[in-house]
Amino acid sequence: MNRRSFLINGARVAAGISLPGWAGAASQAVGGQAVVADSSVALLRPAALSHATGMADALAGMLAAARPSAGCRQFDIDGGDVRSLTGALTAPACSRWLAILPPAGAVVVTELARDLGLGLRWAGRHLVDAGGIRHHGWIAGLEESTDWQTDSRNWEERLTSLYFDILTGVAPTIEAGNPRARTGQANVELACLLLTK
Amino acid sequence: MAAKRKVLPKGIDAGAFATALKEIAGIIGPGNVIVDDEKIMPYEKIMMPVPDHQHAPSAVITPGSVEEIQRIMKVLNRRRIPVYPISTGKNIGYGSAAPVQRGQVVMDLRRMNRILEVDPELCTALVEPGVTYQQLYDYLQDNKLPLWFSCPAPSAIAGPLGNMVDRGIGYTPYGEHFLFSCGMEVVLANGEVLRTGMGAMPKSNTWQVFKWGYGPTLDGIFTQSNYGIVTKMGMWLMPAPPDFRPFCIQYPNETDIVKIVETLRPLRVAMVIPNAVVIAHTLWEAPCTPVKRSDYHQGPGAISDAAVKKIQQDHSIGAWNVYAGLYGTKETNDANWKIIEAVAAASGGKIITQEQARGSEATQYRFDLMKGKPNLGEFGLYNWRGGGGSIWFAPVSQAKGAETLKQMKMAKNILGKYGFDYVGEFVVGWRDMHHVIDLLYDRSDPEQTRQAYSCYEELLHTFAAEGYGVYRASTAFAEQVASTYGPIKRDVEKRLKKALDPNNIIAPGRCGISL
Repeated sequence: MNRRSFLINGARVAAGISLPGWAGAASQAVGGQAVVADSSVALLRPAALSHATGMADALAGMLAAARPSAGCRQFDIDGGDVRSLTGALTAPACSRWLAILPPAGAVVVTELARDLGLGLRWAGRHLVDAGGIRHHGWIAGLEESTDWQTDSRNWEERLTSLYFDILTGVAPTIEAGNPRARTGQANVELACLLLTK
Repeated sequence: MAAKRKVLPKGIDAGAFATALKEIAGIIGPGNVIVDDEKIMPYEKIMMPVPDHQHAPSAVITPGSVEEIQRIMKVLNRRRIPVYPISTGKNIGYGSAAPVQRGQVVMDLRRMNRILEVDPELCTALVEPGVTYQQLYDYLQDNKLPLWFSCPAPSAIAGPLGNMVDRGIGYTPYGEHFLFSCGMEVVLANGEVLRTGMGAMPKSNTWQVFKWGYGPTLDGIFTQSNYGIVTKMGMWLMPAPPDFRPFCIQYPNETDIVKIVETLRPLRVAMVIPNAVVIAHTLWEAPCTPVKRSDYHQGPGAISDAAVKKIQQDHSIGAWNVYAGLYGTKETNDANWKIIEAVAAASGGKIITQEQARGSEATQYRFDLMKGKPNLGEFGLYNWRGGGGSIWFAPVSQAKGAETLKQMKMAKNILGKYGFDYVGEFVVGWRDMHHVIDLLYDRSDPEQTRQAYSCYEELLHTFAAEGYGVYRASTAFAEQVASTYGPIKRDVEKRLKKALDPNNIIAPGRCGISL
């Protein structure tokens, strides 16, 4: 999928799998309407994690294309540095934060979110290996599929698409694939959090 | 706007609960009563191998003063609503901020975050529950006070009061934290305020310098318990030594733990090495180095000994890595350094000095912790297995080599049986060792989560059968752990609970104590 078709189609793949927990909670959250809020979005990602920066760049592009008036800021964070994290999570005018992190960073960000009085709308974890992507998500207390797998080809684009839907309040779908034999150990594990003011 | 909360305290209907929250909002302001799902979710996230909903709070309240807590306790007492107090809620791997039982109201004391006093001459501090180690560190730095404290590994975000109340440990000479606390203020279930030790006496100025006061010493019963809400705590600070010389000694074989302990114990007991020494296994060091597990092990099951050996060779990590420091003047440290060199040479260890360790993440965060500099280096452990599952199994051992080897082998065998790695360390007290094991598992995998639960149970009961008790436990296993200490102790705890909290409203179930 090239960038153009990704931007147009990537976030709205037709024959996909809906994440079961999201639908109900998203409807409650946004009154059943898909929205791209006007308030500024902060994308948090560590510079040292190239996957995360690539996905954040793509997300920023998608957000700009979908709603040019909406602000989007990116923050380079270090999961071990409380000051940089706190600075990003208290950025003025931001009302939503999407963080793409390694597992340890996600633990720290969740803890800081509580300290700062932020809400946690969605948390997802993605294990990627040659066999596929395994998704474990959680929204508003509802567990999503614990073993939802899809082909891992173009996994960064697939996850970016998922994160875009999560961020914009759309019940997310992702193209179903045919996962191959799993290795039992992820080569990449990413955690993603959507925090709200 | 997020969905409203559907979780209720046990035995309380929605109407009565709403009324109680309204009363509390009248005391602390509606903005400090949290019932929205999204805002509560960060309080519900746990790493234990049980479903989140078992520890879901019904609401969160954030009082800002002792007086507000006193008034809240009267409301909760009248309506029999259980409350779960947290200071900073960073008991990660032991239950985090989530209540011990579903439906309890979390009382988050983070707004009470004042450093009330630091006495640079007596080297003491008095802090509120929401003060973090980072905050205290910054205060000492900003005010150019040459004082250190001891902090645990997740210190930058955790706080001294909560850690001391849970009897946590750190890595400086003041590493046994409760031992270096001095004086508490406690709000009791009926709203009365108790000050322990010398704090009970009006006008006393010795609250933070003399622990005992007159009559029974009460501080201990407010640690790892649910008899009151600790709202202030005194702590002793350590004068920054003129010369600090941290070091690591690496040993090549797992069985070297015997001679390590036998060699170090006399130095620790005699306080030649004054700090809480850490003896960390390869697999504790590897994730913090960082090493990727998937580069050495694919597929299910525990990582093999051969792979662990390969990690040691590839990354210059010992089978055991001893972290300790000398704290003194240059002259005393020069003298003691000769002892350390001789001991390392005699026991087959390789010394790594501060200069040699430069650039090593795993070593640097340890050296920082040994001088009380908060950091989050140890969170690297959560990248090892991935999946967000972690539970601490922490039995106490005598500081004897044969005992530590026995415990290590027992733990490794049980963990391996369930497919988990031995990620462990020993933290040396004076005569004891805290054997701390991080049972890391993939919490998004239901089967692995079940296995982790079973594994912990087997660890607990196998160790208990040998007379080994744990010093601290997660909320999910509080009841089981308490039962390993026998019925008489539990009965006394229950009688104390009945006397101090007859309506059973403060954290019932915490540490297995309930009516």
